[in-house]
Amino acid sequence: MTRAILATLALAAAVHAGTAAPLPTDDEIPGWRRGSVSRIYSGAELFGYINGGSEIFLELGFEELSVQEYRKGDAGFVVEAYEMTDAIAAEAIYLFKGGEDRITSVLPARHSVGRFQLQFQRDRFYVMVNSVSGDEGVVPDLLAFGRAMVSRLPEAPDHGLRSLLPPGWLPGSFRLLRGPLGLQGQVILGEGDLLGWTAAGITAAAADYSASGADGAVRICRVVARYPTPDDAAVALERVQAHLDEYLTPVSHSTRHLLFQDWQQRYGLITVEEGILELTVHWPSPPPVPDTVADGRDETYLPVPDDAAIN
Amino acid sequence: MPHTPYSAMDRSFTLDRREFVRALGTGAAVAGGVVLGGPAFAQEPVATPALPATNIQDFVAVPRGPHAIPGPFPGRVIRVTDSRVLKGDQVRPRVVRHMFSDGITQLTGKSMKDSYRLFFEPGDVVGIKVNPVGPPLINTRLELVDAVIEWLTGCGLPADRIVVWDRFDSMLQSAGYTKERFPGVRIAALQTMAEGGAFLGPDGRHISADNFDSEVFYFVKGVEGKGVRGYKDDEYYLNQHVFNGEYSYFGTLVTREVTKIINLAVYKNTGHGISMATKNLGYGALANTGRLHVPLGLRVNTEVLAAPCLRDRLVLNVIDGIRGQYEDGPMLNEQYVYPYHTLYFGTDPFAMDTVCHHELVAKRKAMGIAVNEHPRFTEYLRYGEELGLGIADLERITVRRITA
Repeated sequence: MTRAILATLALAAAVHAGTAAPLPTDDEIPGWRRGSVSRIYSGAELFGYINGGSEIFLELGFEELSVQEYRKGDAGFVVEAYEMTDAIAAEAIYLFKGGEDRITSVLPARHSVGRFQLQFQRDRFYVMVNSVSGDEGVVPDLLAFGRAMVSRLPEAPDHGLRSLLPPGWLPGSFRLLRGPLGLQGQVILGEGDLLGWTAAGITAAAADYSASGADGAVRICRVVARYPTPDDAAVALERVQAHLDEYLTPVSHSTRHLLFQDWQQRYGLITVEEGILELTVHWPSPPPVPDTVADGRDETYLPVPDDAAIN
Repeated sequence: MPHTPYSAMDRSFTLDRREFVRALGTGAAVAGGVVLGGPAFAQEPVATPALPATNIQDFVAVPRGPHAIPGPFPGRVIRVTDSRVLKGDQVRPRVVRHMFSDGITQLTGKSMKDSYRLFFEPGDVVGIKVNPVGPPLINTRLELVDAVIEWLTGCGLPADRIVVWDRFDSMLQSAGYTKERFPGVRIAALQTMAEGGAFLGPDGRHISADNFDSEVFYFVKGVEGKGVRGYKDDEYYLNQHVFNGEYSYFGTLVTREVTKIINLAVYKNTGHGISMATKNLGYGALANTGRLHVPLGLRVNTEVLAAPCLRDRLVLNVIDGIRGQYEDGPMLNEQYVYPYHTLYFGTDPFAMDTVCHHELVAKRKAMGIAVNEHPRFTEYLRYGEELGLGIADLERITVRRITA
């Protein structure tokens, strides 16, 4: 099986010489040597490796993937080092892939590890180390690979995007978004990049919160994006209003907010204030529209209950 | 337009859409103006594209064969669960055989031999479509393929009339579907990929071009495999997809060789949808599919299964949920793989996918995944029902659960 997988990798795409990825050298992890399979996929070549799964990489900002086989006796690892355009993109894809938002003494980078896979993020790299056998005995070596690679990479400065969100989000729910594909996990507002994040290089922060409603606790999602100017944020809202998805029904709106209901009778609210666009979705009842965004052109048709505040 | 089940909002609380657009008035017009002449971030086109025309009506016009889906059991799904099927990482072949036997007999109400006679006839060549994506954890289990082959040969079908197949030869090999593993049975792929232009034969065509039937195709007007976003160049696309025009040709294996198909899909997601019974064939039986993802997405599953070469030959579907993957599929992501100990059986792939979609959504929610239940992720199933290919209304689907 191992031989077959590695043979397949060898056939999968064009071979290029050289790599900038922080790959371990032969015997840097004792006994592990590079195999014959080594490839680099640049830009959209990624489709040839992970097909439709590459869309989210490209949306977030993908530069190059280096794939390197390693062997130690009958055991085999395949390292996939995804070099993203910047450290935020790398963190975003790591979190999108479900990586745990933690750094431990075992590996000084965000990481998750199992018997078959280690994934971690450091600087501009998102890395997966795949164990072909899944043997428990090679997990320490998976982590050794991770430590060797992390040691070659600088620690990226804090991007500060977490501060866009209020504290108290549910563990494991923090995400970084750069376009409609990433946002799909929360809501589909309409076709295309209505919020203009991709074109403008805007990174939004998103997380889930526990909210109370008439029927008990519910999970709502909050997404916050900072635009270059207040006008930019206002235009994004107007575009959503003009091209709202057919399964969303507008409830009330103004130049600074849109309250809508989805097909499951849940509510969403978009507000813009001073260049900040905030989107909250999955409310079981209409959330209150802040006075600051309910301007003179506001048309509100719904009663606003007071039991929908975020805990 | 939204389907009826999803438009049952209380309109007394909401603005009518036309009223909303009217109320936007100047605001919407301003937005439009800014889109055209405003800051760079607002210039991405947002118009909703119309669905491209396809040759679906050609498929529909062909009279249905005696074995056409949804087959003899529309809307019936058998769900067999046995926690003993996994011992650590190992799949227990004996338990798989029992689960398979239970599933078939419960589906048909007949013995295994009589069930065989229900689906197959003397002279049949049976194609077993596997899913080799995601080894070693979430591809179709080899032990399940063993059980199917044992059933077929035990009922008198010669092994050399069985073909285990997928689209790509390299994927079959990587997942362990080899001649050595399945002696006597043919292992076949629709195509290969080769490096550095080696995919082109002396005649300038893809070396796998003759594996596809130029007379049997899925046509999508105006959607070509040229300049497709995400591919390095058209040559790269051609290597992976054999053809790059408006036609997706079906494999000759499907159109001329096999007379019946058993579809062995895997229980896993793709984005907010699923990649199970309908997708395993919808994107696995023809070439030039890369062009279809963006404009048609899961709708391809439905229209391709309406093609007579699949519709009339697909007699049995099994979804392999011995392990499942609830997020980041269809590729392997270990942290989302879980032991599920379950096999699903049916002749109706749309009923099976409807059930499995709902069950996987429930699993995803339970695991804290942000699930988007937008109707666009299940529209293809309702479309399949409209075309008479299966049942997608849960109220009309019967799920029989068997737990060992």
